Amino acid sequence: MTMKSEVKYPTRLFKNWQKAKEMTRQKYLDVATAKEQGKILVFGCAGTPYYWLAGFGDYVYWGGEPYGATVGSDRDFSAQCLRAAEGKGYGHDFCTYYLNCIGSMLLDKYYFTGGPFPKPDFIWSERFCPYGHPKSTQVMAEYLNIPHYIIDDELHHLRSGKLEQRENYVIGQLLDSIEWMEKILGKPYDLEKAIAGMMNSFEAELLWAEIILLNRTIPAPIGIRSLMGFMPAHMLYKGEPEAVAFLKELRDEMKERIADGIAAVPNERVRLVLSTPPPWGALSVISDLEKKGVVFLTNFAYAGGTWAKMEFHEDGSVTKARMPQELGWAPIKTREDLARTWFRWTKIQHKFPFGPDYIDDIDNALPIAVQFVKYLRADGVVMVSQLACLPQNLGTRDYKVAFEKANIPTTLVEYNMADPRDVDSAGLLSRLEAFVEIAAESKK
Amino acid sequence: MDQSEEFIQKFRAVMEDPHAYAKAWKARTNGKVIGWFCSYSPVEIIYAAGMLPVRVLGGNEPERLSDVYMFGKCCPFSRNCLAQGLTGKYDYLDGIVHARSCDAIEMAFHNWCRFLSTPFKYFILMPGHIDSPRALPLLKAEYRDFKDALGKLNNKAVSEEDLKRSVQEFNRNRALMKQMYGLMKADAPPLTGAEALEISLAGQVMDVKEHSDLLEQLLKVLPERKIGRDPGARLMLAGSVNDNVSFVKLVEDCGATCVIEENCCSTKYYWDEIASGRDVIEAIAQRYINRWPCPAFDWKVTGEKRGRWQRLWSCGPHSADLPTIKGLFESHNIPVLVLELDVTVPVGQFRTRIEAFLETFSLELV
Repeated sequence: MTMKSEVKYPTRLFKNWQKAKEMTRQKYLDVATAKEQGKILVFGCAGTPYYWLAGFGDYVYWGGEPYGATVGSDRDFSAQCLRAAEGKGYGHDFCTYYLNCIGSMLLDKYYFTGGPFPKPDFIWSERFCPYGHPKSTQVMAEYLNIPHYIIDDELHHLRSGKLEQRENYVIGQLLDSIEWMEKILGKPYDLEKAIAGMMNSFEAELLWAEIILLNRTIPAPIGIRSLMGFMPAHMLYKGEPEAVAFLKELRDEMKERIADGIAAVPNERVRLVLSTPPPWGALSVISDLEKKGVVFLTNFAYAGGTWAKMEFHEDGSVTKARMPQELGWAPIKTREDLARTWFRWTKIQHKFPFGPDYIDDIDNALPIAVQFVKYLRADGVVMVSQLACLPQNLGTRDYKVAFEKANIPTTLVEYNMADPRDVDSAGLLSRLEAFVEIAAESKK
Repeated sequence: MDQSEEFIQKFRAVMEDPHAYAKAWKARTNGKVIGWFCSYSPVEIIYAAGMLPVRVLGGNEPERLSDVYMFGKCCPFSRNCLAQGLTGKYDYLDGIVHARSCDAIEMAFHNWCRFLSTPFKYFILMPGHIDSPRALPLLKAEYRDFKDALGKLNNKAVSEEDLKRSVQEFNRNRALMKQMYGLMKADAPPLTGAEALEISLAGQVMDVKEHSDLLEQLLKVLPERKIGRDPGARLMLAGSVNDNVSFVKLVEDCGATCVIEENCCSTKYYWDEIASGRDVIEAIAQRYINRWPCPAFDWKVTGEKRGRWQRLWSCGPHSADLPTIKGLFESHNIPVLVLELDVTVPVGQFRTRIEAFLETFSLELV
């Protein structure tokens, strides 16, 4: 297919690119050396409020999904891990992020050092989905013989039932889990440090939202490959001042790029939003499309949820959210305040219209999703039937219909984001190329 | 036809057209029929409200309707359940309820709520963290709300006495079901596994009292029944949901008897009874928290779990447990064959695999 590749805008590398890579590398090296450094090593879902661990002193939190994604970006190592897990009997239809983790564990091979798979002190994680997270971490806890605690934090209160009792259930588990960790670690809990960690995380979530929303500029200053490259500095360092400092620098650089008219894709002509993360082992599909003037502005999965907090306004605008103190929330004085503030922030105040928590209220979620895509001035949406993760498929059809009704061209593709064996790169590229032409035509 | 045959035929007739049974019940009683999705739905509360709880089951036939609403990643049973609603087979329902379990069946439920006109729709947050002391207070509150919602739907509050009567009826039924499966311990079981599954499934769509009455009559004559077949290998059929009787028939036609099932269409549904002597709602909640768990709720790190044998394609929670279960059985010299089920059964392929599996038993005997 012939596509124009005329250069319309200047481009340049991000100043902080190497710093982000170094931060990512350092955090994963910390995972391997946490014990030597005298730090607690905790494994779990990256969406867990792991910054609360600051209350116990120095810690390293090892998120299963980012590790599974990183492994999934390496075709050879991922294939080894997946073969090891599947050979043991774990199904190919299981959560692939965690299948990569389980495989790496079974091989006793840590991706970042090639050395043995680090043994966490315990697993402290949120449920998120019954398919992947708690069952995978259960498998790992049994194999590694380490304690395991899962916080069941879904609500689904919008269809029927009362919020208060569901909130108390979640808060109760959060508080119990702190006591559980106190017993395991034999350490007192410093609430002030936990509060500071949580506030850093909230601030980082607002900065990440601001960075994504700056991408409404034409030309877009950042594409999804770079955005995902910067993501670990946010995802792996949540709650740490380094993340806030880094994201401020990135936000400022985004503004500089906008002022200088710097584009992520010099021949930008079609702007798309992806629903799920990209196929980590086949990012060449994205770069091939970038060469043809396509910029992926973000994906839904990392533009909301635990990662970014936004406010959607009646005039169609979208802004970063406000900090609890700006919202007039009461200061945190007790552990229960800590838990309730987290709950209110994460589950009530800033639900993003994509993901499992919204499935029971999809009629309200869809207009907000449309607003987000329009605000970013996207020309189309690529919905993914995600083979790696069931919750990311929840409501896919509804979103597709809603975007189409709003005259936003939308296509549906299928791939496994963390199993390169399960991505038809050539077919995916052809399909997206055809869709790009439709999206380009519809702009006229 | 001997008497047991006659009773078994009655259960079979219900399962041949469960919708006709429900419609007839509705016409006869003028009562409401409430569909439920997952075996964590508290059928006792529905029955206490004077309503007929009917499990939404798959049709075990290929379909394309649900593809539009649920993608291939979702388990085929869930998609097939939704398809039954989309084809209008459950149009007679007055309500639909789901107690949260896994995302796939929940997706079927939410799509049902969005695209079907069943008047009453209710979602119960079954606590996932069943080992937490926070689970029971939540579930009690959820059940009280559900009970009140049903009372409102019926313009008649559900009383403690209603609940007690319902619990008694379900406990009676569960005891009878255990008694029935107890007979499968005989050297020559008086039922085939397929018949046992049909009776078990019938209990999930029939009026529980009617099911118990019929079952009680069957149990009086069943010990004397001779089915005139070599039971062959005695198998446990374990794993994900299985409402496919023809699959069990296929296994048994290869020279075996499925003497016990471990899944949510069978033992996991009826095994655990409700303790008496407490606040009834609390007792019901306690039953669902302590029951034989679905892997979606089983997060304990014990290193031991109960049996699995067949699993549904794309059932993540079972997928996670499978290697442990397989290893556990094999460590006790119990051979395990893992089959991956879909909406329909690949008869030829499965027959070859099952026959080969059964042949390994004969080799051991030699």
